[in-house]
Amino acid sequence: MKNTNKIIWLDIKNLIKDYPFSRYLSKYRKRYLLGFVWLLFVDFLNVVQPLIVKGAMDALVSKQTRVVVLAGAAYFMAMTLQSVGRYWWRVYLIGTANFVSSDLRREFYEHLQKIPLSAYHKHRTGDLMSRATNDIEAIRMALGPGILVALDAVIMFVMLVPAMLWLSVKMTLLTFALYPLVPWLTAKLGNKIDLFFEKMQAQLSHMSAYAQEIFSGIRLIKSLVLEDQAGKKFRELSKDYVKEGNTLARYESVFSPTLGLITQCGTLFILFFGAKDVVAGVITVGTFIAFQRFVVQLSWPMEAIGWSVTMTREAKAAERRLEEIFTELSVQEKYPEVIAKSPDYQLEITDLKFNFGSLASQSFTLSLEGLEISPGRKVGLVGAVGSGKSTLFNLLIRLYEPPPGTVFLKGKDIRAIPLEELRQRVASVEQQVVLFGETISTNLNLGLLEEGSAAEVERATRTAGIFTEIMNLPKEFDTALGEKGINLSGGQKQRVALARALLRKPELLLLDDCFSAVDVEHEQQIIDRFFEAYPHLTVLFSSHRLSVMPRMDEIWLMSSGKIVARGSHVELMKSCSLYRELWRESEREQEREIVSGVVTREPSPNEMKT
Amino acid sequence: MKESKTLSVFKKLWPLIREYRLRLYLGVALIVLTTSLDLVAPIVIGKVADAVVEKNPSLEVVGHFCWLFLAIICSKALCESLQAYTLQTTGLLITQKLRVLVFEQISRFYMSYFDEHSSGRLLTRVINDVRSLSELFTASMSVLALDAMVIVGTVITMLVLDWRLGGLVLFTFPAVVWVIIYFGKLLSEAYREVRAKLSEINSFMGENIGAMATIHRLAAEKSRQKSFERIVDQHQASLMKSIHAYAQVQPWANVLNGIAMGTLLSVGGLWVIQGKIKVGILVAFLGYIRNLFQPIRDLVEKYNVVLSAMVSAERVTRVFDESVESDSAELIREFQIPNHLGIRFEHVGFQYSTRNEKAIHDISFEVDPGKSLAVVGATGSGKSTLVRLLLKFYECQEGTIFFGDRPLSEWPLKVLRKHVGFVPQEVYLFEGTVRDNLTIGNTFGDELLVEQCKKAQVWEFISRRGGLELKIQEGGTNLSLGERQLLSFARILVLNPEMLVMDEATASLDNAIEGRLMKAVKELLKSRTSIIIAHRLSTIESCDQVIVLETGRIKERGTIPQLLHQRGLFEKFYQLYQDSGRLTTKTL
Repeated sequence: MKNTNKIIWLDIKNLIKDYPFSRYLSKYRKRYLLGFVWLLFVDFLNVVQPLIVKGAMDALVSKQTRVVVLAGAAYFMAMTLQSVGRYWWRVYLIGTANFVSSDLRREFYEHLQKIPLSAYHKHRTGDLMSRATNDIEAIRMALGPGILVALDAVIMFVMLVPAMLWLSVKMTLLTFALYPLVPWLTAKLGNKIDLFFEKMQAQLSHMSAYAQEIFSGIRLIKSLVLEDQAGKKFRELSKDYVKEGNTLARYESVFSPTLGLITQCGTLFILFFGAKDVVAGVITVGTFIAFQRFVVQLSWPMEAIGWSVTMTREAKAAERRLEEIFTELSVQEKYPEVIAKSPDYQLEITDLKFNFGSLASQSFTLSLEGLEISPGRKVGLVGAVGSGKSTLFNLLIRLYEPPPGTVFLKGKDIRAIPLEELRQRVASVEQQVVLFGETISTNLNLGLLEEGSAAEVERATRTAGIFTEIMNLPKEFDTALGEKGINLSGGQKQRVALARALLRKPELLLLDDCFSAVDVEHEQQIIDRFFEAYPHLTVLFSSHRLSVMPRMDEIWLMSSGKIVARGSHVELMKSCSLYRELWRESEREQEREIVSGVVTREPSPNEMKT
Repeated sequence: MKESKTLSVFKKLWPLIREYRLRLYLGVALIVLTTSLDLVAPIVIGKVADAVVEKNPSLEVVGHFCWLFLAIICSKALCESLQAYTLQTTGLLITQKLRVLVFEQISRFYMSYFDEHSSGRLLTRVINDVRSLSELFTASMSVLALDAMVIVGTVITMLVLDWRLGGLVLFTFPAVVWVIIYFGKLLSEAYREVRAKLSEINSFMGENIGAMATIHRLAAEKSRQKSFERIVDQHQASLMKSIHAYAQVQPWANVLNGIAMGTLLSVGGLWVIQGKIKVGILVAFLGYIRNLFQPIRDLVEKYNVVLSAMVSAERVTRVFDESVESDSAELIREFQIPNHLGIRFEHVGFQYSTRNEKAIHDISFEVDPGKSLAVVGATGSGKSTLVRLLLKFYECQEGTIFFGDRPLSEWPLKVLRKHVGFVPQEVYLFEGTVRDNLTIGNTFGDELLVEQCKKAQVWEFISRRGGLELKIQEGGTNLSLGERQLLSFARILVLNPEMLVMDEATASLDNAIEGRLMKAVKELLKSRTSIIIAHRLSTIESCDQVIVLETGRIKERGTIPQLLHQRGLFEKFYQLYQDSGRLTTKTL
């Protein structure tokens, strides 16, 4: 006996452990337990009520006036006490599920920030969004209403049945006479209902995909006068949807009335056989009436079980999808240091080999060795589109992880520097600048441990040549950007991003073709001003335009992932034919830009994920 | 004020779903029937109780009542089943009808509407808004109707059965109505806040997932996380507010229910002992009170559903209020197509409603029938606008465009677009066979189709893979970029419009395809009036004249030799075209 108890207990334990995101059940076990206690209280009073009715009816027949009046008062008391319980179980059980969904949201987003950029090649934004909304909602439903409903049903059954048996075994059996049909009915119809529900959902997403396709290609649809045909196709898709829906409606319209009929048959049996027993004196009138109430109360758990099963199943699927993201490995904050180098160089690269492997949008392997930059030097990085410049930049701030012992910052392996520290010390500005839909000041201070002072902000923005423009905005630095506020032009954005990087007071600044939307003259002004204002800052600068290269201390020429030449502008013009060619092409391109304002772009890692 | 808005929305939508009114009436009738059966059942139970208590049991009477009860519960199950089926399928029909109507309506909107609304938002109209609207008409309405009917029916029956006891028990009922209205309002406000916060969470997620590289770059993870958590906290607070509000509904209903039941048991019991009423009445009332209090939670909840469905309903009606492109059938019938289809722009100017600058100013040019014009200019110089005006995607605000010597405004839209073949940069192929994609709903002989495919240089690619029967996947993904482009050319050749407007694709193609493309373009240009936004030197060279646009104005015009002679903008472009690595002229 004890053994079976143990086994049952283990089963329950496993059941709880298998529940979607059960770790939250234990995290909030106090609240769940409180909710459970209140639920017990409420359900207990639920069982008491028919018993009070029984007492009243029996007293009524035997004409005990006092008892009848007292029973009325007792019923009122029971209901009032129950209200208190009803309030609290809702707050505890449903409310706690909201804590869970908020927790999940926080954790999910936090984790998204930790996984490497390469993970975004696999998962699209829309897909991640749908997991963050729909799937978390499904979990919330399971951990709130789902649990509530299941518990409620079980408790009710467990409490009602003994009370019923206590009053009359025969009546109890009569009540449940047809109940064995319920599992059979559920198996027969319930599965069909689920099946057609899913089919409908699939057809609906088909329809929305079609509508999306038409709306985004509307220009062509109109030019080919295809509107009517698109409508016809959509109508057909819609007809299929209705067809599935009709089948579903057929099953559903049979299912729940039949369940109702089964419970009502309990009432019928009690009426018929109960009346005889009352007359025969086997049971009292009170019992007879009380059983009518029991039947009514049983109808709820019947509905509830089905509900909770559906919710749990949906949550299981949601859990799988969420776990897929949660199991994406985070980027390691810092690795143990293998070797160290002399701290004389600001940046040193030795024997760095890197390729994207299966994600190859770039076929070659980046292969660099023996490169170093002394503090305060300004180095230009030159190469054709796709030669590996952006990849190198991304490796230097560990957006992609370089192999151990290949990149050193002041003699320390960058893999041994915690990510946050590394990215404070090495600032970078990308070509495809992203600013957030908040104020300019928030954008400038983003990620800073300590907000920049007014003087620092002014110095950084003046250097980037954006200060006056910001001061001309309606709310100056407090002007909101994006949907909530104004839109900056591409060039303005790039200059804000430069100011943002300068404000971080980095040791090393990486500029990845970040003036592509600024015109040539402006670019040269900014560079001059910037080099003058920050003489000690080490800079690695790439640009598709070579016009500012003569200002650099040194130029690295990159081709197919390798540095093929190094030297000053004058040296390279003399010695390197590839550099000369690039220089000529760039001059030509500048003319074209002057002619047409055409801006050439190269794909940045931001774009690669789409 | 609010009432009248609801009414006007309803008035607008009713004609659209009028054809289903019989089904709706049937549904309502079935609801009434179900409710009445629900009201009769407690009386029967009461009668049995009477028979039992009076200890004068003719079991025959009990037997009769039991048969009656069986009949009632069976017919109730049947009615419920029919009602559920009727309303659910009607709901589907209404959804389908509205959805197709909304879809068709949106696809007829002017282009300017598409400029201002994202396709995601339009999709929401078609899918979500229509769904919640039709739910309003079926699910919510039926639950509301059912609940209201149950309440009213119960109150009346109780008063009819015994007005004294009924009056006493129903004493608290006005408070119930108050609970429904008060908490209904409270909740709908709370839910509105919850929804607003949730959409803030979503837009934050969308923005930041897209900007993840930047967040890493700036080591801004912590501060972003903080911003995110602030929104999540706000969302949670608003959720808790709604839960606290909702959690109060049932307790209040419970207390009121308790008062009613307590009164019934005490006073009713007393009266039974005193012989004022029969025990059956008391038993029946026990059932009725349950009927009375059960719908309260439903009603409070549905109040919110109905309110948010009203928002959707308004959006849907607004879709129908929007003006659409349309031609009267009469206009199409009476329109005489001119013989010589040349194009003439006279001082045309245009500004997009979403911009604060004119896209083009004072554009005048003429293309004689059968001749071709190349339009050259940088991005944003207004090239595409010319094409859009010509296709009447937008009406020009200044000047006039003549097509075949008739102003464009006189041309019915559909006729115009059927005479102007448009080849945009991005190719549109839909799911279906090559034949479907070529004929787009018209009938042509296979021979003609194959011939045009050959002319468009695409036959060789598709003949090996099933020819006209080749199934094309959505978006044409089973064809290469170049093949898709060629197939779209074939389509235009099949439709054989008098006029051609082409926005040449800039995508770089391999040499083999590029060569074919050039041949196909030549084929397209043959004896057709054409305007081409040119990106390839070879295309420009085969056009009769060229205009060069800069910031919406014509800067230069003439034949190629003339323009080269001017040594202006065009000459620079020409150099670029020659240098830019497009080897097309050499391969041809």
